[in-house]
Amino acid sequence: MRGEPGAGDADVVVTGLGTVNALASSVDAFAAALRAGACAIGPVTGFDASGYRSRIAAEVKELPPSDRLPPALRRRASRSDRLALAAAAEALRDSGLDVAAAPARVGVVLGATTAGMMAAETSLLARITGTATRYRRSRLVGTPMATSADLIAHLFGLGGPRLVLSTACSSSGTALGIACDWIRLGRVDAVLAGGTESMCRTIFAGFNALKALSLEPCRPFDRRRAGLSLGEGAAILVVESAAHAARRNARAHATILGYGLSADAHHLTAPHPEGAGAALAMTRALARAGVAPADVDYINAHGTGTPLNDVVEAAAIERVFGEAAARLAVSSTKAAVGHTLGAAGAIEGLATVLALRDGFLPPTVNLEEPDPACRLDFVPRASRPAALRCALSNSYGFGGNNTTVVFGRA
Amino acid sequence: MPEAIVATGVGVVSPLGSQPAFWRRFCAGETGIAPVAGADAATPAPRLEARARDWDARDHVRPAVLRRMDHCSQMIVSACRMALADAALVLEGRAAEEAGIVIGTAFGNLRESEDFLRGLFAKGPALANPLTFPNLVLNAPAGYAAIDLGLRGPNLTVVRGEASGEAALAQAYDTIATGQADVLLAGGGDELAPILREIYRDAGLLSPDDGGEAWSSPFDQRRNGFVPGEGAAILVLETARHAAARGARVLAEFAGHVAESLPASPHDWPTASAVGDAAATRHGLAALGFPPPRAAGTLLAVSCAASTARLDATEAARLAAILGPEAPRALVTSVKGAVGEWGSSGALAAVAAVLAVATGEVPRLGALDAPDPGGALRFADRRAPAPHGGFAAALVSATPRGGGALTLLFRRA
Repeated sequence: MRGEPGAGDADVVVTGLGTVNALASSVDAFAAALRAGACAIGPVTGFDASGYRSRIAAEVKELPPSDRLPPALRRRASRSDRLALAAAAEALRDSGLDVAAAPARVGVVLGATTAGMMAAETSLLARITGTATRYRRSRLVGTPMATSADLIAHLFGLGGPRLVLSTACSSSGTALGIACDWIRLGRVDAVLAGGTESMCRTIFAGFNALKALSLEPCRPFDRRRAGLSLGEGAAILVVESAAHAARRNARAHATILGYGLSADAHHLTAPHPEGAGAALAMTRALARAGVAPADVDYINAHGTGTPLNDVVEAAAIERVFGEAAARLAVSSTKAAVGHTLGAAGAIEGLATVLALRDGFLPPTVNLEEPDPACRLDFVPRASRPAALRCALSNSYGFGGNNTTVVFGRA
Repeated sequence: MPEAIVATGVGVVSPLGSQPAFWRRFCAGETGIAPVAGADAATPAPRLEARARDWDARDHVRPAVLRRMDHCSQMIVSACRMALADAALVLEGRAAEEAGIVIGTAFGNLRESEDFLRGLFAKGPALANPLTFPNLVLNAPAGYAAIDLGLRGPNLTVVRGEASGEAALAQAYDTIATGQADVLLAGGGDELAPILREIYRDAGLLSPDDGGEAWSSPFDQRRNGFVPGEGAAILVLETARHAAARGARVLAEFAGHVAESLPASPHDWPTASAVGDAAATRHGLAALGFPPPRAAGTLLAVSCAASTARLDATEAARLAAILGPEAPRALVTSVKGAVGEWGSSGALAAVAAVLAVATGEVPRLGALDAPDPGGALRFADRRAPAPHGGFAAALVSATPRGGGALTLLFRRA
C-alpha cells in the first residue's frame, strides 16, 4: 500500500508563484481575496459593452506598469504580454531561481487564446472606418499568440524551450503539465509555466452570441446558474525539478504529481453528456500521478457556471471518485476571478497550490442554492480551513479537450 | 532512453496537391504558386499566392462533421484522414480511445475570424454569429479531427509563429515519449486569408515580384520576400513497438528535437551574425546520434528559408554552423519556394524529410538559379544528383520570429 502522497514521491515542485488578475495584483493579495470570498466581477470598462446581453466581467482594473520594459518593446507589448510579464517577474523573484547560471536549462510554456486580439481588432476597425489606410506593423507585431513567451524568454534571459498552447479554456492547465514533461524528460531544470489572457471584443461577442454569459456574476453549481462570467489575468508558476530545487535549498509551495489529458470527441462546444472525457482526464491524471481517489481532498473544478458544464462535471467527479466523493471538497474560483479562458488553468492551478500550502478550501462564491443534481460539497460562499494532502485542478475547453493536473502538499 | 518513435504515414493538402502528387511535383522542382484567384488589374500588387489545390474535404470528412467546418479545419482533418489511410491504420474502439492529435497553427481560422469581426462592427453584438464563433478557437481543427475520428487521447494545439508545425511535431514526440499515447496524428495547417495578405503586404514582407508563377526562391540572390501560402500536413507517429505489432510500413524514425534560443527581439528574426556557432543545437543533435557515420550516406536539411533576405541568410548561417564539417555531404532544401509561407508549413517540411529518408528522392529548390554564397552549403537545386544509397538522416530547421529555434531529426529506421 502506498503511504500519503507528497514530496517524497514528487520529482516536480512549484517554487515560484506570480499572478495579476481581477482579484489581485500579487499572490499574497490573491490568497487573501480567495480566503475572504471576494468576487471581482463587475461592469465592463475595457470597451463599449452597450448592446451586449451581458455587460459584466472580471477585468484587471490597473494594468501593471510597463516601465520595466525597454522603450522599444513598451509600445509593442500587448495587454496579455504585460499581464504575463508582471506574473513572471513575481514568480521568478519568489523562486529565487538564478536563470543566468544555466539559461538553457530554463524554459517557458504558456497557455493563451487571444493574446493581442484587442489591438488587432482595433487595427481592423480603423481600416473599416477609414481612420487608417494601411495596417501598421508596429501595432500588430505584438498580437500573435507566441509573442508573450518570446517576450518572457527575452526579458528574463531564458534559453530553454518555449511553447504556447492554445486549447481554448484548458490551455494553461495543459501548459503546467507540459512543464512537468520537460522536467521529467530532462530537457530543463525549471520552467516558467502558466497562462495569460486579456479581454477582447471577439471573445465577449462570441460568448454573448452563444448566450453563454450570465447577466449577473456567475454562480457555479447553483440551481439558478445561468452562464459564465468572463475574466482576464495571468498566472505563472516556476515549476522545477525537485532535485534541482533541493540543491539550491529552494522553498517548495507544492508538488505537481502528474496530469492527464483527454478529448470528448463529441461536440465542439457542448460537453459529453455523461462527462466521459472529463472522467477520462481525471482517471488518467490520477493513474499517472500514482494517486488513489481516496488520497484526494480537494478539486478545483472547471466550474464555469453554465447549466451544462457544472452538472456534467459533478457527475464525472462522482463517477471517478465513487464513495470517496462524499468526503471530497469541490469548488470553482471562476465566480471570484471570472473565466480567464487561456489563463484559467494557471490561475486555478495557483489557487490549488495556495490551498495546499496554506491549508484552506477556496470557496465557490455566489453559490446560494446548490443544484440538487450536483451532490458534492462545493464549499459555498466562505472558505474553510482544511489540511489538504492532494488536490486536482480541472480545465475543459472548446474543442472538447480536457486537462486535469494533480498537485500534492510540499 | 525512451522507446523509438517512427513515422508510418503522411497526409498532405498543399499548393502542390495531395499525395502522391505533392512529392512527385516537389521532387520535379515544380511550384504551387499562382496568381491570386480572381485577381485583375485593380487588385493591389503583389498578386501571387500558393493556394491548396486538387482536394475536396467531402472525399475525406464525414458529412455530419463537415457541415459546420471552416476551411482551415477542412484542410487539417482531410490531411488526418489521408495520413491514416497512408499508414493503413484503422482507429476503432480502444485504439481510438488512446490515440491523440497534436496540431500546430500560427493563425488558425483567420477568414471566419475576420468575417465575425466585420459582422460585429457592422451590425453590433446582437447579430454576431453564434454558429461561427466556436470555429474561431485555434484548436477547432484538432477538436473536429477528434470528433471525426473518435480520438480520445491527448488533444493539443500549439502556436509558435512560423515554427508552429515543427513545434507540434516536437510536442508530439514528447507526448509519446512520456507514455501518454502510442499513436498520434501530428502536424499542422494554416489558411490564406485576405487580411493576412494585407498585413504582410503593409509590413513589406511579401515579395513585390508579380512577374511569373515561378518566383519564390529560397537562398537565391534575387529573393525579395515570401509568397503567402496555405495547406495542411499530418504525420502518423507511433512507438516502434506499436508499429511493429501491427506490421506497419515504417517511413522513418523520428529521433528527436532540439530547442535553441537565439538573440533576437521578441518581435523579429535574429540576424545571421547573431546565430553564432549553434552550439546548443549541435550538442543536442549529437546526443540524438547526429551526424550518423559517413558510411551511412547523405544528409538532408529541410530549412524554413522562405525567400526573404534576412531569414534565409540566418538559416544559411545556422545550417552551416549545425552541419559544420558534415556540410559537404548534406543537401539543403526548403518547401516554401514551392508552397509559400504558412505558419505551420514546417509540418510539410517534416513530411518532406520523412519521404526523402523513405525514398531517397530529392525534394528540390526548383527556382534556384543563383544561390547566395552559402559557404559550404550544397543546395538541392534542379541539377543536384540523387544520392547513392539515399538519405541517412534529415533535419528540419525552424528559425521563427522571436528567436526560439527548433530542429527536428528524422533518420532511416
